Amino acid sequence: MTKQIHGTKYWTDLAQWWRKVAPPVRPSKSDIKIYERFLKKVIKNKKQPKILILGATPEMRDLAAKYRAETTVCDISLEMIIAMIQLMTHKKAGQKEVWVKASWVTVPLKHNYYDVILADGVICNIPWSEVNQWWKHLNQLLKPKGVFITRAFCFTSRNEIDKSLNNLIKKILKKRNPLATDFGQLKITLEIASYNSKTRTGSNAKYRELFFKHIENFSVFQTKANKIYRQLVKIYPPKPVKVWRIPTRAQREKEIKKYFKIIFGIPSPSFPTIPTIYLLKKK
Amino acid sequence: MTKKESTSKKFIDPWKTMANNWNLFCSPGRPSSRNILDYEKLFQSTVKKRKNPKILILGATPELRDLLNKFKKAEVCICDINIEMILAMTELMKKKKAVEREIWMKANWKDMPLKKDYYDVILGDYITSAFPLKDHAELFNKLRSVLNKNGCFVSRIFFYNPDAVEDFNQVADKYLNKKVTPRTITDFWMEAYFRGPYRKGGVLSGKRFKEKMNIYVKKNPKIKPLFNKLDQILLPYNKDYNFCSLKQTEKSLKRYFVIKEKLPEINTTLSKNTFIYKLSPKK
Repeated sequence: MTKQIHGTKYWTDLAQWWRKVAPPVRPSKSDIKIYERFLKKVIKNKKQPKILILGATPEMRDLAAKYRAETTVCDISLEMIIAMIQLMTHKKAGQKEVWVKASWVTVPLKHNYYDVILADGVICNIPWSEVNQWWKHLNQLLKPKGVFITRAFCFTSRNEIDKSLNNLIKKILKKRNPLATDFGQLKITLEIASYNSKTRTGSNAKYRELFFKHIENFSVFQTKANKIYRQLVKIYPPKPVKVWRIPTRAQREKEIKKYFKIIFGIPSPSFPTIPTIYLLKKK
Repeated sequence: MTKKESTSKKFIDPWKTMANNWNLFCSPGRPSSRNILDYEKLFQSTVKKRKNPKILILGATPELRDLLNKFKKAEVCICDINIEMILAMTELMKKKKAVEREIWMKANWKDMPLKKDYYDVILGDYITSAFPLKDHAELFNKLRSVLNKNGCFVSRIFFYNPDAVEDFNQVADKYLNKKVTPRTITDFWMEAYFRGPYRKGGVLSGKRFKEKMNIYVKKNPKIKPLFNKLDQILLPYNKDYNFCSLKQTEKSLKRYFVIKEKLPEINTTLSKNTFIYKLSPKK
């Protein structure tokens, strides 16, 4: 691990890569507005709210910095925590954060300590075997009136995902120069379309297979299809394989309700068909 | 400054320099193998009773982290306010595999948001002298709170000893004709700085030490190679150390801990100023 974080190039590459990543893979400005609206509800009278951020998402860290929070950033990768500072608006605040390199499931943080936990798109990172322990752990870290604000993805139905993927490809084919957000949407939709109902997971391994299968529904030159695919995998490579836990909406809300009360669940403006931004209150 | 340069300056360059400099030290600046045996002796009984002992290390001392490699089932957390220091010290570890299991936290020791009553053992090496005296109570209280009731805090602790005070010029004279080696660098620093005359307030000023060096080197240029090496490690001499007498040190420890055992530092330049303490928390 230390070898990985040796060179300046590595750090810069990581940040450079994140720069290319667009919503809905990272939160959009409208997503952040919703996060902020939820956050304000909870911390309105607090001078220095205590916020725990799972992951290193610069947008989440900037939001915490805006409200002068005492911020703890927890991620399994220290490289990400450090590299993402480059993409923060409040870089100085980034230096003041407490950083923890640890697993989100077991990180030994103080119980009943945080007013808010912020995490963008992290639920799919938790393996099925650890999901119950994780929700319980988050519940313990929050103060009695604490909240968890998060954007989450889920599997809707095979028909709906296939339809969504077709519409997306159709939209991209119409454009001479598709936008970064189009590729962001394509990445997520392909991963959800790779959903395996036995393991209830999806991954980036089937980009090629799914993309070319769906593109057959359109009359398009092979060169154009190849070009779009190349653009996609340049930003989101299919290797190394990353497996995501993908619950259905019902499964997701069932697991949430064990430890949290759903106060709001708003479709994400950046990609309304799949993710939802939740405001969850500790039970 | 470009973003690339800024990352390098803040994170990469300092820890490389620090890692190089750390190698210019030997015991008692770093724990000796004898010290390590003593540390192990003091905390072993606590760890033996636990299947998965939880151990917190204050600072990133590589010798302590290497020692913990043998406790395969231990959960080890490293906490330091400088992530650069953790990275630098990791480079000097002999058992690099241990790093993968470690949780890393960048935080001030007195504010670390760790779980209450969680740790079986806290280890540190001369941590109190690196901490302002006015904050000692807060620090000890924090350590007491994160230790479980059967846990222990084991650390080398420095105290002022009026019978072991050295005069700067006399010490420097002694080293005037000696070859510059890690041994002479460390011993000179320990004798001339840490065993310098006591000042009310218990602060050992780095700047004051540098002034003495400047005066001495003007009359004795032969000492320059030794002083150059010290400059390499200590410039800009902005680090102060804090200490009090043995009686005062133990009085402040006893407010929060019970002194279970203390072992002497043997055959080093700080033998008369150091004990390795095993402290159990007053709950």
